[in-house]
Amino acid sequence: MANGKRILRLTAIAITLAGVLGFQLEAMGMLGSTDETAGRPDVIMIDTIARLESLEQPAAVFKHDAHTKALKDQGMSCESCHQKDAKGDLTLTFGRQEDESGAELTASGLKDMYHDNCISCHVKSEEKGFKTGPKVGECRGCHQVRPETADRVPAGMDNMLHFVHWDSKIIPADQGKETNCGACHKKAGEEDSWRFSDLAKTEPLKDVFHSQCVTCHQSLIEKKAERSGPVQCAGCHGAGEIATRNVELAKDLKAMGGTLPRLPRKQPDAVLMAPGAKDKEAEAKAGDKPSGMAPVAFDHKLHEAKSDSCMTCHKDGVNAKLNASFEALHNVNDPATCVGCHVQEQKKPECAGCHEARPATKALSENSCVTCHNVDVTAEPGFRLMASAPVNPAAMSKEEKEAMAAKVIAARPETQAMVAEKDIPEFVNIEALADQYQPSKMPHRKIVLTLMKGMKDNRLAATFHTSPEAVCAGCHHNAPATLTPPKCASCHGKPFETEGRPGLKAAYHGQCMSCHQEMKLEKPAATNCVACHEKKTN
Amino acid sequence: MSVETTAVAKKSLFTPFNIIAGIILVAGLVVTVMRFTGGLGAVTNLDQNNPWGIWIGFDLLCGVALAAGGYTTSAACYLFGLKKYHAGVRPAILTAFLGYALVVFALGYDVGRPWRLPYPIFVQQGTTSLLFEVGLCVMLYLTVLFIEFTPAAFEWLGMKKIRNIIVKMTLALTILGVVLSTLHQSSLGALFTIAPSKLHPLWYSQYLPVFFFVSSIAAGLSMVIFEGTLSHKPMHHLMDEEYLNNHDDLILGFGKAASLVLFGYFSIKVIGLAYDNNWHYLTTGYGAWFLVEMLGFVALPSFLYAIGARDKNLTVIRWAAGLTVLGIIVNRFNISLVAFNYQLPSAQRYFPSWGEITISLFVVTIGVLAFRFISTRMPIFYEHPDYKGEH
Amino acid sequence: MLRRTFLGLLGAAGASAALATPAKAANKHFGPHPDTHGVLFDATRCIGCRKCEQACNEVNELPEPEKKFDDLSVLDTVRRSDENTFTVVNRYQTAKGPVFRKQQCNHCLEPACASACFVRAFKKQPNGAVTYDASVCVGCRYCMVACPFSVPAYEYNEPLTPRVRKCTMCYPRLQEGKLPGCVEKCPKEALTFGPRAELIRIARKRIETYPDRYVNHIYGEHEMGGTSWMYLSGVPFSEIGMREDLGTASAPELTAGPLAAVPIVVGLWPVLLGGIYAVTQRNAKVANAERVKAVKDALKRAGDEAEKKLHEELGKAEQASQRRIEVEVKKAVEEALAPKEEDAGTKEEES
Repeated sequence: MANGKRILRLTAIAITLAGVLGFQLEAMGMLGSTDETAGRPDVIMIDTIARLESLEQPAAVFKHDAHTKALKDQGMSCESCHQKDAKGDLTLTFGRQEDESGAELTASGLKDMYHDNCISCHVKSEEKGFKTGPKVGECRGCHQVRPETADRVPAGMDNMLHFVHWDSKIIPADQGKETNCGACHKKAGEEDSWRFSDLAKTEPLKDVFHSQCVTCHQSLIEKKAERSGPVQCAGCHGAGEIATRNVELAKDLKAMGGTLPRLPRKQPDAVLMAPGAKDKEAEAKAGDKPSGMAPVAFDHKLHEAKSDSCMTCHKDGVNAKLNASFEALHNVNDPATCVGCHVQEQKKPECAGCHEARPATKALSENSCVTCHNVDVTAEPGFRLMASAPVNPAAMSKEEKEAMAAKVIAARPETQAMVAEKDIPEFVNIEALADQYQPSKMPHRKIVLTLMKGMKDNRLAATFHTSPEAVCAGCHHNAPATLTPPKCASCHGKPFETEGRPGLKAAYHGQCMSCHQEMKLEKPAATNCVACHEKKTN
Repeated sequence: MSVETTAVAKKSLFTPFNIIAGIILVAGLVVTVMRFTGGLGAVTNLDQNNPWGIWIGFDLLCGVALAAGGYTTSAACYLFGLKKYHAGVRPAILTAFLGYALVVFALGYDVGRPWRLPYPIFVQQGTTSLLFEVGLCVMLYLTVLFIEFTPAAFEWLGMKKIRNIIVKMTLALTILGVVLSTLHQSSLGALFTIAPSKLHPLWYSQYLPVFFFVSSIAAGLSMVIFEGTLSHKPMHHLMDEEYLNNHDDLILGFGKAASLVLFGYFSIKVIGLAYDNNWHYLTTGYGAWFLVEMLGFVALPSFLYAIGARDKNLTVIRWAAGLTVLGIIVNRFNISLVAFNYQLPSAQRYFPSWGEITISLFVVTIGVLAFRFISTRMPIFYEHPDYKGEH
Repeated sequence: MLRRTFLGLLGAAGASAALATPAKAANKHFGPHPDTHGVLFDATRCIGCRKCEQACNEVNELPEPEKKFDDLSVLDTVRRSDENTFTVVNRYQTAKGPVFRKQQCNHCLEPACASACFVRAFKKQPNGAVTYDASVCVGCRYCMVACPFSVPAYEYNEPLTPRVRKCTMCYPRLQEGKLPGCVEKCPKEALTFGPRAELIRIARKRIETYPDRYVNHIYGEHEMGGTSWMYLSGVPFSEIGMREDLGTASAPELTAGPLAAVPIVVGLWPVLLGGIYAVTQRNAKVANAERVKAVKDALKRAGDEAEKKLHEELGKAEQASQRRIEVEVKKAVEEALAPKEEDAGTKEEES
């Protein structure tokens, strides 16, 4: 072609332009999707310089566990990066000690310190033949534009893990005592989570925990103790490792008979909780007239065994005053409250059959108040929930209060009161809508007895199902609890007339099928019509 | 002498072209019978998720786009006063008329009840529908094209008076033709604006009507060049001086225009990408195919056209025209078949059946044969001696 | 030069590009007909028994399917409605176990099918049902393209009388005051029939009463401009095969822009093109006149020049002939004188 050369030149320029443009777009991250790798628990973003000046490069991605393993493979210790302080504990900062003696490093000083130490180690490892990280000129290897994000499970100590520590012989007991609380807790008698310690008020929480837990574990490992805790990030923060550990702990718990020994911290067995009592301490007098809701007798000993950690309820620590506002004790949606936790219990399959169908708001009704607020309740109508005798908890001593609460608790039933078997109809013939199917012969007594078996040893059920007929109300609902409840058809008629009230067919099917589904019964399957009613042949 | 001419006319009917055309015709008739006795299911691969296949994608969409040469050429000659293109008007009008007539013919196969095709206009008008818009404008435009074509027939039949009346209407018909073409070309694109959830983001845009309209201009210009190239050798003996003298100028001029139009089309497609911020799709598989369509079938022919126009190289222009025609087909296929239903798994995607391919070939063959029949008998490539200079 | 063609057409196309946004009637919002009814489907109640499919089949007198309705093995595959099945129930495995969903026409408030149909074969009835009139349908299947839920099915195997088939919300039964077949048959009241506004209230109440049971969203309240058939679910809707990326713009809204451009083109294009023609004609006329004048001038100039030249030549010729005459006269005189000299010579010899 006549102008072949020119065309060639133009095409070359076009291709070059396209190449440069594509490269720039890719570098700016406009093309391509983000990496789909799941986050690791050990990803630390190094942005120390951000405190001093705005960053030129993105924060560097540092995978701590990978480095710990690499050091171990090469026979090196934590001291390659972490210096030991005066006490011989590892410092948490890299390559420097953050105390007043060391000179404050400048931004460029910090940069050089990180670069020199990290890269020189990488170079040395490579020389030794190990797989290593980025070196000089491979900036983007660490300063990733779209970095991996850390995926850390928040670590914490629950009762079981705490037991492992306070029961351990490896942690030496305190002077003259049988307990070893002092090994970790500073103030005897006021032991609490480190979250609430004085140290946590000044230092970041992670530093508090790491400096206490990890250093101790590390020193035990160095001393070659029988057993120690994790020093890797994933050991406390990795979902997989936590799951494995929980399995092991569950086995240990089972071997102990299913209940943890009680923590020896002199907790009360029973507590008298009086609404608004502490506010009136100043004016309290022994002969005052009753006012306000009756106090609640709280079985502290039982609840200790039922919760995973003290902090479930003592959200601000066991030494702090408990938040006794209405919301903090009665919020249906918050498992940290009394009502909220009880609602969680109702979600178990043995309970959910009846309780799932009850609206969330019904968890807190007038009838349920009196189950708890009943210490010395007056029988007079209108004063039912109020204390009768001039009992004023504000004027009582701690021992008096505990004794009163213990008395009320002791009076509570251990097991559910039952309706006499002869009063439970054996079969109920449901024939109101029999059309394409025969009437359904429902094995009523069998069902009721199965439900009763499920709540046999449950103290919560025993306390809240205050009368034997209360259980009947699980199915015979929205009416007073009685041994002779009305027929379903009394309220359920044609469909779509009132919202919230199904028609009779849906009432039957919905009631039975939802209960079976919530209680995770495989038989009868909801789609197996003939399991409950035979088909009509003609 | 008459003995000679008849001897020439009686050369064998069984040319290779005629044989192939004959086979396609026979196959087409067989499939036609199957279609009207067994229904669409017996002949097509259409299903409940894929209601439109190549009968819409090719016969309707490509047919209408490629028949755009009619309005572009007549607008160039009569509205923009470019008299040198005059000789190209009749072939373009004939191509367009046959194109649209065959679109309607092909619709007779695709639509469930073809005899009800007049319903939207005469029985119950669904004016909210863009398909109504397409149908109305196509019907009107087909009428316009037919009327624009009739002078050639009347000249052949010797009906002078009525021929003159129609020729006097040329200007009005041309304006009407451009208006109607704008409307239905853009409405064909607008058909797909109703289903954003089914069309891949790289091809879906609220500007689809504009894209279709602008690309139809390029399609029309290219198709005139393409058809002119294909018919040059077989119809050479029919072409008169005016046609032959101006033929090269026409190709050159249309090539220049097509280059600009394709460049403009490329620009608005890029703007469309930016407007919807769809850049990140370019790195996907669909994105690669989109780039092939844009760079290989729009940018490249625009570039080639420009070179051909500058160097006055008609061969390059002809190749560019072929590439553009192919590109229009690729674009219409992409929108109606490739990017449509992109969200479905590949097992549920559509691929044409042999019956559908047969009918599409059948329709094209009928068009070519009709074109040949008419242009060998009527004054399309030449001026009728009785009407010389009367344009 | 076809440059003008390009510029003219593209400039005018720009006008239509500016109209890409839908032409809304100044801030007016037209809600659904006050009598619009609908159905609320509660996925937490459905047990996948397929009694609704059976009822639909009976009420609409559809052909018997291959597998009977109590054969639950069909739930192993995900199905869709077709020309003989207006509704299907599908099973989806989710984190909360198997969840069932009934699929059928959603009877949109602004149906894409009704908007797309160019013979108005689809109609949104005042009571909410979207009905189909087979007596005008041409069979173009644009409704199937337009429907975002891909609901309408076509009788591809009918050669001469193919129909589009979909759920009708049992419109004839509604006229008689009865419930739709599926709603009546469901043993769990997973389907609730009633006025659409009421259904939304009911759905909100259910979510409020059982917040742990439901995802806080009523599907169909706003999707595609709102549908009459709405859904509640306990798991994210995308896990039960429902698209959550459809947006809230109804189909008519999407095509309003292009449709609005049509009358503008009809009104403006003739003006534009007529103007182009007029300008082109004027240009041609002026060019012609200029050319004529140029020719005339050229001729005149040529004429003048020719005359001048003629004059010159004539002058020259005149001079030339004068000189010739003089030359001839001289010659003649010389000749006349010459014999006299000869005579004188001979005369001397004689004397």
